Amino acid sequence: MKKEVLLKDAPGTRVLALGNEAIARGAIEAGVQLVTGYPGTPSTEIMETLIEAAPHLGFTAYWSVNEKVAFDVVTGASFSGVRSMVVMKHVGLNVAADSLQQLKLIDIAGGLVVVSVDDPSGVSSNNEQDNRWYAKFAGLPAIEPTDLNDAREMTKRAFEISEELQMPIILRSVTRLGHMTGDLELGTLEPKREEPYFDSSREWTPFPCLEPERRLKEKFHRSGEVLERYQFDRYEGTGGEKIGIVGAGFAFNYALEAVDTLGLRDKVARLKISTVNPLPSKIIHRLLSHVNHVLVVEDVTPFLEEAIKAEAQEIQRPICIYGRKSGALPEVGETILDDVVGALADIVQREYPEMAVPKEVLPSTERAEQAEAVKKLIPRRQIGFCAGCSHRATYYAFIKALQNVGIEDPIILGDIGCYALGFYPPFSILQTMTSMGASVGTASALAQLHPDRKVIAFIGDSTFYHAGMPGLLQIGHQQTPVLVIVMDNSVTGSTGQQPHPGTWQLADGQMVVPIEDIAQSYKIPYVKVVRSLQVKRLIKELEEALTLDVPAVVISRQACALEPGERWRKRTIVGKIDLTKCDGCLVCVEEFGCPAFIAAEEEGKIAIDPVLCNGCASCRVVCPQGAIYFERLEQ
Amino acid sequence: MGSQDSLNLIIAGVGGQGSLFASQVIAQAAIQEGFSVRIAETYGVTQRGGPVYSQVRIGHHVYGPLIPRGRCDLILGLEPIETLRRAADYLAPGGSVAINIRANVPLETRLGRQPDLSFETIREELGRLEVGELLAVDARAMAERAGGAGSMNVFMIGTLFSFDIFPLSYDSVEKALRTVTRPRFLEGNLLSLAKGREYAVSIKAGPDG
Repeated sequence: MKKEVLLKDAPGTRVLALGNEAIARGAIEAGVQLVTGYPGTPSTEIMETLIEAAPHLGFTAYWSVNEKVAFDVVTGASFSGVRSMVVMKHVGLNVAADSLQQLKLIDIAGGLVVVSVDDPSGVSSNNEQDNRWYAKFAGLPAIEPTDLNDAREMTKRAFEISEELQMPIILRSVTRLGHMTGDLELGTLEPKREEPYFDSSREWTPFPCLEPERRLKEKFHRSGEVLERYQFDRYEGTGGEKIGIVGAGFAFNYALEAVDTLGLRDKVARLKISTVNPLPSKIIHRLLSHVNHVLVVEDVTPFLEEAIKAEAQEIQRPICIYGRKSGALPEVGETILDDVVGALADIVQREYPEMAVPKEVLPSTERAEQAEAVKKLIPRRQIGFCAGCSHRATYYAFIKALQNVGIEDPIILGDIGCYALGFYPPFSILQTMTSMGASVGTASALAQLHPDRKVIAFIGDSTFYHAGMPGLLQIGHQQTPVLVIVMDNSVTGSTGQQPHPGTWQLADGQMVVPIEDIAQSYKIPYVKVVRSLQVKRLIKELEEALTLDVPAVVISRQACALEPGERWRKRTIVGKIDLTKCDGCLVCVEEFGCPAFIAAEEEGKIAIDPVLCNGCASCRVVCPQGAIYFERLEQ
Repeated sequence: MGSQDSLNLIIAGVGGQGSLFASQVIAQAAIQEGFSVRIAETYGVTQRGGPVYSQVRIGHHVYGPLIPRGRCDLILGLEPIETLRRAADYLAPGGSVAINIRANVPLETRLGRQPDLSFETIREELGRLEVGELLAVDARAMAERAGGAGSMNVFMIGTLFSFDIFPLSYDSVEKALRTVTRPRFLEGNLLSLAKGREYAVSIKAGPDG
C-alpha cells in the first residue's frame, strides 16, 4: 500500500498527502462502499488510492469503461441504500452528464458524491471547462474545498448531506489541489456499512417528470440551510473594511496570499466560499453590507462573480465587483497570484489614493522581461515517447508504409492518449484530435466527403473501449472504407497504466474482451493484430491495409514500456551502434527519435545510452547503414 | 523572504534524477518539525530526461503550493540547465542556489542544432538575476565518493544545511530519509547526506568563503 497512513484509525495524526489522497481519505472516513470512475488527469490518484485501500477495509472500488458507465454503476448503489462515489476529471462529467441529469430527479436511498477534478489552464486536457456550472445547470448542491483538511472533511460530510437531501452532491476540485502535497490531519473513521437493499415496489424513474422537477426544486431550496450547518464558508473581517476579497474554493489561497503579500489584513475583509451551489447568500451579504469594492478570485470562469453582482444589486448598495468578467483578472487560464496582487493593489489605490503600495511587493515587469531574456539562452528539451514505446514503432512503420505505397495526401486523425504525441516531431503526423473516441466517427464522415483521399484514424485501446466502439459500429454498419489503427499497449497508459477490458492481467473471474473480437462482430471485413515492435512486419501489414477499399482495423499491440512487468529491468539485450558504420546521417534521430539515442564521443555520430535503452529492438531497421546491433546482457 | 520560519524552495532537474524523492524527504522533515508544507509538482509528460521541478513551501502559514515569480529563496539544482530555467522565473533577489555543475546536455545541443549553454554562462546569468549565495558542486563526483552515483540527489540535499535560510535540522532530515528510503538504499543515502553537508560546510568555511 503506497500510503498505509491513509488506512489508519488515528484521528489527529498529521501526514503528508496529495489533495487527491485527502479526498480518498474523506470517503474512507465516511464508510463509502462502492467507488468507481475512469482514469483522467488530475483525478486519477483518488481512485488509485481507494482501489489499493478497498481490500483492507472491505469496500469495493474498480475502474469502469467510461464515466457514463461509472455513473450508472453508482446509480445502482444509490438505489440500494449504500454510500457510493464516482470520480472523474472535468470532461468526464460531460460523458456522465446524461445520467446525472436523470438521476437528480429521483429520491436516492444511499449517499452519492460526484467528484469532478477540473483542470484550469488545461494543463493535461484539451480544454479548461468550469464544472461548477454543471451544478447550477442540474440544480444540484455542490461544494469545493480550499485545502487538504477541507478536502477530507468535505468529502466525508458530503455523504450525509446527500442522504439528508436524497440528492447526489457534486464535490469540485482542481489540479492545484488534487496534485498538491501538503500536511493532512486525519479524521475519525466512521464506518457505516448498510446492507444493500433494493425496494422493487418503488419506481426509480423521473418519468413523468413534472412532479419530480417540482420536488427537485423544493429539495434544492432546502439544501442551502442544510449546507450552512456545516460552515464550509468563512468570513474574516471586522465589519469596517471598505474592501473585500472573495476566494472560491481553492482560489481562496491566492486571495489570502495576495492580502498578506500587500500587508492589508486591516483593510481587506476576506471571504472563503466553499459552498458552490446554492449560493450562500447570507454570508456573502455579511461582506457586501460594509464594503465598497469586492474582488472575486476563482477558477476558471466568473461563476461566483456574476452571482455576487446579482446579490449586490438586490441589497442596492453601490459596490464595485471585480474579477474575470470585469477585466480585473484574466479571462482564461488558472489564477496566478501576481495577477491577484496587481488587481488588489489597483483597488486599494482607488479607495485609498493617498496610500503608497510598496513597490517591492508588486509584480515587476522588468523582472519578467529579464526572465524572458534569460530563457532565450536555455536549450529546449524534446518531449516524446519513452524508450521502448510501441507508439514510436507504430508511427515509424506507418510513415514508411505511406511512403512505400505512395499515398500522397492522406487524412490522418488522432485521439486522446500518449499517442497524441504523434502531433510532435519526429513524426508530426496527426491532423485532428477532439474528444475521446472522436477519431473513428469523424473519420467516417471524412472518408465519405473525400472519397479520393485515404482516411486513417488512430485510436488507443482504452480510448476505443471508452468511446470508440459506437463509431466503429457505425463504420461497420455503413461499410465506410476507413483504416482504423488501434494503438494497443494493453493498459490505459497516459494516466499511469490502469487496467481496462483488454488488459492481459486478469483479476479473479474477469474476462479479457479483445478488440479484434469486437471489430469482427461489428462486420469489419479486415481485422489484423500485429506486434508493434516487429517493425518490418508491421510496415508490410500497413502497406496492405492502406491499399484496401473496405473498412479495416489493424491492431498494433505491445504492452506499455512502463508497465511494471515490462520495465527495462526485464530486458535481455541492449542496443549498440557500430561507429565504423555510422556516418552521422542522423536519420535515426530525425525519423525515429528514441531518447536512448545520444551523442557519441566521436563528434557528429550517435550512440545508444545503455541505461536508457529498453532492449525493445524496434530500432533495428532504422539505420540506413545498418549500424545498429544488439548484445546480450550479462545476467 | 525566507527565514528560519519559512522557505520557498524549488528543486530543479530532469526526469529520473530523484527530484520528487528529494521534495518528499524535505517535506516529511518539515512536517516532523511542526511546519505546514505545500509541494507542487508538474505531473505531465515528465518522463526520463524531460524537465521536472518541484515547488516546496515550508512555513507556519502557507497558502497555495505555487511559488510566486521572483519569490524563491533557495533553488536546489540537480541539473544546471534546468536550474537556470527555473531561476529565470522564480529566483528572488538575493536568493540562494546550490547547483550541480554536471549538465544533462540535450541531443539537439550536442549535435550543434541549438546553442550550447556552458556552466560559466549559467553562473553569469545567475549573477545577473541577483543570486546571493551560490554553491557549485560536482555532485556526481562527490556522491560517487560517498554512496554511489545514484544518491546524487541526497548528496545535494546535504549541501542545503550550509545555507542559513534552510530552516530544517539535520536530525529531522535524516529521520525523514529513514522513513522514505527503501531499505537497500538507506545506508548509501545516509552516507550521501552526511558527505553533502560536510562538503558544503567545508567549502563555505574555507579561505574563499
